[in-house]
Amino acid sequence: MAQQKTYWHLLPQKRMPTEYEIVTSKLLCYTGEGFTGKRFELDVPLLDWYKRFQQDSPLICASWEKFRDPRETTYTKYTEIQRDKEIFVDGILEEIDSSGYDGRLLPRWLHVLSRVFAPFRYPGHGLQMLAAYVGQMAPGGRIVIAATLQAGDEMRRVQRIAYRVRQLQHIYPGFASDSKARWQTDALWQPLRMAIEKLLICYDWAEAFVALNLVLKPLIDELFMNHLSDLALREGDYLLGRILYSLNEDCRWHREWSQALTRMVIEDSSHNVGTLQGWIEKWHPVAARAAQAVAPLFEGKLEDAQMPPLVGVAQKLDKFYRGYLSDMGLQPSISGTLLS
Amino acid sequence: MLNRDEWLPLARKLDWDYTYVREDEVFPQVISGHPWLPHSEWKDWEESFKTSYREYVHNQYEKDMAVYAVRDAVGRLENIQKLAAPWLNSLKVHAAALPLAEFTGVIGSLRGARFGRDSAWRTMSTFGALDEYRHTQIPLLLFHQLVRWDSQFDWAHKFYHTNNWFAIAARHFFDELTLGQNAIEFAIGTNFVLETGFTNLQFVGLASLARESSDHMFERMVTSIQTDEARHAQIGHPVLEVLMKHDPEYVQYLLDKWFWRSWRTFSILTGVSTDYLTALEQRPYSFKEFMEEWIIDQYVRMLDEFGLKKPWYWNIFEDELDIYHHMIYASAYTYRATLWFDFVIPSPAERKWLRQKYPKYWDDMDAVWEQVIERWRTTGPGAANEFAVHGTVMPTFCDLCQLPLSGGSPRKNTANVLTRDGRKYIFCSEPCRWIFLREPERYANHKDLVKRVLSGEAPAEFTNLLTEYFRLTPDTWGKDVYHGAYDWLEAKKASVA
Ligand SMILES: [Fe+2]
Ligand SMILES: [Fe+2]
Ligand SMILES: [Zn+2]
Repeated sequence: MAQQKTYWHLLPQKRMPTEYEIVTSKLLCYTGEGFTGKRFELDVPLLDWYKRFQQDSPLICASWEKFRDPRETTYTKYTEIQRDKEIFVDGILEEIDSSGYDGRLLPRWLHVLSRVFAPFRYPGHGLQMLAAYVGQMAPGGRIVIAATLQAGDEMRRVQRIAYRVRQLQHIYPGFASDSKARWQTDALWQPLRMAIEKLLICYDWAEAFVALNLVLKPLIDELFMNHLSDLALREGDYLLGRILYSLNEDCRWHREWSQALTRMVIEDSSHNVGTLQGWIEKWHPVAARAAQAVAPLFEGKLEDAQMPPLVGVAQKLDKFYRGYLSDMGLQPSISGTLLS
Repeated sequence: MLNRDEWLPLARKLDWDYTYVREDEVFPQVISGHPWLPHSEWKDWEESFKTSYREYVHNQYEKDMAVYAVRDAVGRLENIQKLAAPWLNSLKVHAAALPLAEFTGVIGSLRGARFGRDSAWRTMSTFGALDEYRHTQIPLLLFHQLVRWDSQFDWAHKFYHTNNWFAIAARHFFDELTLGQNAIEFAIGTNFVLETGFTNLQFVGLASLARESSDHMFERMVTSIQTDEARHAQIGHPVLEVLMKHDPEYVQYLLDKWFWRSWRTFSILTGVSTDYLTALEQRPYSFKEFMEEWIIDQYVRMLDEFGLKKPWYWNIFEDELDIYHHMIYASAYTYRATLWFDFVIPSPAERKWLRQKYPKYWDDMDAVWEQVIERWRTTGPGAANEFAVHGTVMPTFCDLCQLPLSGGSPRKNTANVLTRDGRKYIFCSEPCRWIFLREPERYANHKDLVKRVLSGEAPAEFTNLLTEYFRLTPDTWGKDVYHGAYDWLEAKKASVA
């Protein structure tokens, strides 16, 4: 009898599997895609929950197992990549401490940091919760993994902001101690808080994925990780720009795997385009309002922080988002478009 | 760099008051768990050992590198091939049970990462989910290289994708414990009972068996995995503290239920490895001694600490320490072709050791082995005679734990029946019956293997059952490692091997 060269489920590939394939294939046995075709053995407490929000989801695919993370992120690879990024950020944070950097920041910029940067820990944690939801409900093991790692990345962002805030508190006692209140009451944040809270109760797994990774995150990440970084640069806070650059690398990967998954379902069934587009139609206006509420910052209209505007942010964001969706054959909602 | 204690507080507590939606919509009871309490009751939730993402990726990367270095040094196929046959089969048991169960742990941990009731809890669970991904990956990678040598190692991935009776039991356990469970019951059942209560079975017990058996690869893997378990297991304590203030009766129930279900699982996995599949001269202790020294004392201390009682079935449990895994092993030997690993008959020296370690019931067990040996004496050794020394009547399975009815002793079986809504149920033990009756809506619809055969869902013919339903082949189904050819076992007639 011929020697069996790999695990049973990888034999049909007729080639040696990659490490990524070995450690990520067919990991779920309860989705009906396992060999037994069964779902749960018994009537678990979440039987109906999975039926409603996973099995009966309008987004369909013949096999969720086909999904591949374009970065093929095994656990080892993840810790290696992220360790390197954290070393890079550690270097910047150390430079801040050793160079008296924080003492030289402009008062108006400090105001921006305390109002716009520090409170981001709260929505950041919300985004972590949302990724964890998509992960636990995803019908394929590799999707579970991508969303789990994304939740880890969101935790990273929250903790790096926290670190930076504490550094500033050392120089400016009491700095940003009102973050929670800002998040709960500042007009700048309320539309984003609404978007996140509404998303937290959006339980169809695929709609949650679309609302999070095809709508809210691309807009919010781009605004806060990229455009805020431009503003920081102009205001002399070039080291924050570098930190945000590193955090934005995570966000870029979140978009990449999301595009891969979206392309896969569109390829699988053209019927899915309408479903995806419908959810974008529903969530884009909500997310756009959240982005728009931060506009005064870039338009130089923040009371207490008068500064020249950063020209063209809305147009750039719009163009960026349009490009992100059109890469997948999708388009933004007309009522969500910022320029109108 | 700033000390972690200086900045981490700014990242740990990030709950806010919802105003666009209601808190009970964000944390529905069905998925966040009972009792439902407002966040104000959870706001002081605190993990005892804190960590940060930055430290996490550093340490975990180093830990992975260390495991792979050990693999490269002593974990290659040629190293594994040198291990004793019984131990290799112990390895196959754990290889199958571990990786995909760990992946259900990813899902359970993500449940905590979303529906845990405080941000610090959710963040610890996020680390837990990452950890469980690691625990899926390391064994799948390490055992992959062994498949080409011995296709029974294919079960490292295949096991949960079969309807093998033991896989049915394992899925029944993990589906309830992790995959389909709410955040609170997951924290108690998994983080507190299984990961805190039973962790030493793996961390100390299994690791030392591997060390004694010269399996340094497996020893290193288990040890490395358990350092993660120790970190995320601590989620259980602070959850339990809050629950105790609001519904101590429910806490006692959850602990008693999950202690029993975990005991069933580990007595098979670790019990059989310790007392049968490790060579006699390499056994550092008996399974019972280990349970007493490393599990029971600590568990009872934890119960005391929270003002909880020992489970009501403690006497039954203590009695089982002397017998249950022996019953399971003997019945598994009898039905070895239904499993994916091979078995050994305990030798006269081992039986002497077992009698000394388990004086209470060993005489009864010994009689069972005497019958098996007598059968081999009659048939003579040889692969061709495997099925002549094998059970033929399908065993009956417990309607709770899904394991063959092996409660009690050969002399006095503890199986008991129940009629409910016109349907008959059978249980291996009083605690299994008690668990069933407390939440029958979870268990009552499950069809055990026998019912599947009767309804035509599973083939009735034995070989078809093995190949089609259990996904075994003549190569992979379990055999006697020596096909009855033991130097202490003299055949009555000439060998046909
Ligand atoms: Fe684990
Ligand atoms: Fe664990
Ligand atoms: Zn039972």
